[in-house]
Amino acid sequence: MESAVDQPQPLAPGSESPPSGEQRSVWQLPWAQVAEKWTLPALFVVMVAIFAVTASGFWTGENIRVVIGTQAPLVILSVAAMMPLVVGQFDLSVAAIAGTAGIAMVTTITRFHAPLGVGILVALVISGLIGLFNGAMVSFVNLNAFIVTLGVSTVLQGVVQGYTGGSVLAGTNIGALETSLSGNVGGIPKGVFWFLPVALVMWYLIEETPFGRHLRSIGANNGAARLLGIPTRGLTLSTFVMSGVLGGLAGIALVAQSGSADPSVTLGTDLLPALAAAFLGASAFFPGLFNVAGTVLAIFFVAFLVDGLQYLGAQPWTSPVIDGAVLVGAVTASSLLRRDRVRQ
Amino acid sequence: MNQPPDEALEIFGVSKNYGPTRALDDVSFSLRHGRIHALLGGNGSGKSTLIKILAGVVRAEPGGRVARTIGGRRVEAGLSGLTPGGSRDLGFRFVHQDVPIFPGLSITENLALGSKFERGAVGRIRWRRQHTRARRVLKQFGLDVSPREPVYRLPPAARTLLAIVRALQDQADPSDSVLVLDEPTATLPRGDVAWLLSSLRRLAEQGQTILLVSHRLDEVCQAADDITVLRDGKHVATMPLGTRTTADLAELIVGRPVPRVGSSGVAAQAPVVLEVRGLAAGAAGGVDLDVRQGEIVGLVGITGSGRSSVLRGIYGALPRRAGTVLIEGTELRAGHVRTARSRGVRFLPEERRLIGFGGMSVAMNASSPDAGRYWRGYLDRRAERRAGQDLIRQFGVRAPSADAPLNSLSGGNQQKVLVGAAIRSEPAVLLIDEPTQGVDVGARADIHAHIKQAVSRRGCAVVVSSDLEEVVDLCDRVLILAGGRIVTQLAGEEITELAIARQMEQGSRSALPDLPDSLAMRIG
Repeated sequence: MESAVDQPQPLAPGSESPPSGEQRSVWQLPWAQVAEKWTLPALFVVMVAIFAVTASGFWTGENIRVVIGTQAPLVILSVAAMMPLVVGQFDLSVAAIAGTAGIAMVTTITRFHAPLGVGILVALVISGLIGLFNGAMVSFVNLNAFIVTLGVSTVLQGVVQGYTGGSVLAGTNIGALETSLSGNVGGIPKGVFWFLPVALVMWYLIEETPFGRHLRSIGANNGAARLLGIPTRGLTLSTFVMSGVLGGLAGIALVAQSGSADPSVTLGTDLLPALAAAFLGASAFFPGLFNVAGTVLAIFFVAFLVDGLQYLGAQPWTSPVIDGAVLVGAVTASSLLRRDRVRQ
Repeated sequence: MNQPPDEALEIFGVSKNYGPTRALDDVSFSLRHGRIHALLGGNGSGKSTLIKILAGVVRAEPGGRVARTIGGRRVEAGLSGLTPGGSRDLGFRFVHQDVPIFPGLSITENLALGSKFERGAVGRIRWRRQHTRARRVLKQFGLDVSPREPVYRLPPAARTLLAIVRALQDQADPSDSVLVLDEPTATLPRGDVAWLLSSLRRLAEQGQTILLVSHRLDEVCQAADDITVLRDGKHVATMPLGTRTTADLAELIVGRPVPRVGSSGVAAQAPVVLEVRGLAAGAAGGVDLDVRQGEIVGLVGITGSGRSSVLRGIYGALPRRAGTVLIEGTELRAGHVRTARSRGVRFLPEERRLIGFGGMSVAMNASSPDAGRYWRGYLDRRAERRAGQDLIRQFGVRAPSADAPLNSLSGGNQQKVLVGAAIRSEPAVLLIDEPTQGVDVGARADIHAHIKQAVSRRGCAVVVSSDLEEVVDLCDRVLILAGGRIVTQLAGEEITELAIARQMEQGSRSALPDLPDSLAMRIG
């Protein structure tokens, strides 16, 4: 136990603080807290090391680059899903928004012969508006986010299905986008140039600005945040808008990756892995808090796990099994850890 | 005390660790039959943890045991594996501070929810039989009310007693159980406290063993037979109360003499910082108030008198129906918390959980919502943490570090963090609802001194408190509210507990509608 605990010193007011010889950094925290912060990164390293030794073909530059590069859309989608989680809200519509954005972009370009830039802009604006609707319903009409976003998601599925008749829209004329996600630049997979800027910007917003701190406060105690004059409604709304725009960006990335817009993206196959990563990520770096670095790490944790197992002969169906298990496992672990740390 | 003088409950070697913090360290003591036994200790002394262990909600470290004597038979049990059911079987009955009473339901229903419903064919509830049963139980405990009354019509103290009745209704003999009361009077008006304490005394005389946890030492001196003191998780003493005074108890709890801070005189010429005219918000209807630089004004009144509404109305957390508020001569926009804060108004509501961010660190809580101060293109966490450490030292918070999450601290220490953060911001107007509720005597004196020091430098404070001793210690002027209006003012030498209590009683009698006769409480 630290000395500060052994000798509580309620000082008389006005007396100066005693000279402090105990500037604590992260490294002097009780070991349990440090261990919690670094468990997932450590597991990640151990896992990769094990596969590197046991699965031949896993530890090659090509394979590593492919795994990293192909995760770009999912990383962006996962950060999108994470934003409302920071303020304690769910957004189940991110995958549907991604699918809608892809269809909207390809339609704008191929049917209305608009340039690529306009197509991207249209997709992002539509995504942002859907997010705005979600956010307005949740924060100003006080509806349950679960219900609203699930409803919106289902509506989008129907509209996209109706418009496309279920068939994939080929992404002719998407020009530069077509090659933007395949291959490498200077040995770095191009996918990195998609997700890294997104992750850095959102990390900065959440961890390094008062705005992000306010979002965290709302997530920790909405009523308290309101009493302290934090504009809880507006900020909650903003997370849904960010979630919508990023979801749209993930949709554009998916089009870039496959060269076409697939209406089945709206069905939400990618929703669970995205949410799973956000929850698993909340167990790393800032235990108990949703954070971008943890989320990105979690995506690659799962991706390398699936990849390594498939090198060892696992079937493709193991992938959803791992996604589901990760989600439940991450939530269980963080709940058990917290029980030990927090007074009940 | 017609019970044999044997032990009703013995506790052996109870320890508990929360991560690196040792909340309880090898605590042993015993309770005698038919006695009111007060469990005393500061914040973080381990009282709450011990209670939770006895309730089977928190697991003790292996080795802790209890022994009970039930019906002349001695029963022993380990505490590391105790479940809530097991605790009940050992005869522990708990009534907590936040009484889980359902105000919309009748007394009968509230009692049945703690026991069972009498059921007929197809699972129908047999109401007549149920009411009869409830009436019998109420009578047994000396509560003279109709069981069909909805609970919200009961005065607060009667609700607490109802919770006690509910906990004890199923026992055949008073010696079967140990009644554990966790801060039962914390939210009660002063007048009701005396009534509740006399009810407890009557229960004890019938042979009921009672373990009483309370921060209000005057009540302990009034009610307790025996006391046990915990400090820093360790057992300090168990002994009969004897002739000990509140000051003696305070010294035992803190481990050093506790200074009493007297009121400071304020020059009547000091400039007016806070000017309130005709404020109507929530339960407050037309309140005028002038508070001068350096002044601490107390607002007292029974629950519902509008005392808390005045604070919320000034701060903007409640919409204003009418009236104006001026801070240092300029008008304050109504119903807008951010403006109020930017003008230096700080508010601490009665329920601290309303303003704390549990999962976030002490440092973050201290800087919230003004984290902008630490923003230099990035958040300067070093500076934020340093401010958190300063707060921890200045207010004697027991926390392993400024990085510890707020909810890893004990309740009283969480409160010190939140009060400390408000005071450290050097507010122009400090609005505090129950500044020391649930805080130990040592911290209480500290918080009082800090409030006084804060207003002596800058600004003023308005304090709502149901603890009259606190009001006398702290306030330069006391305003008594009833029915949403200020009815009297006391200043300087006039401020005594007796005078305040008398004015409150008069005020409330004139302002409140009469209660139905069936609810009139008998004082035993």
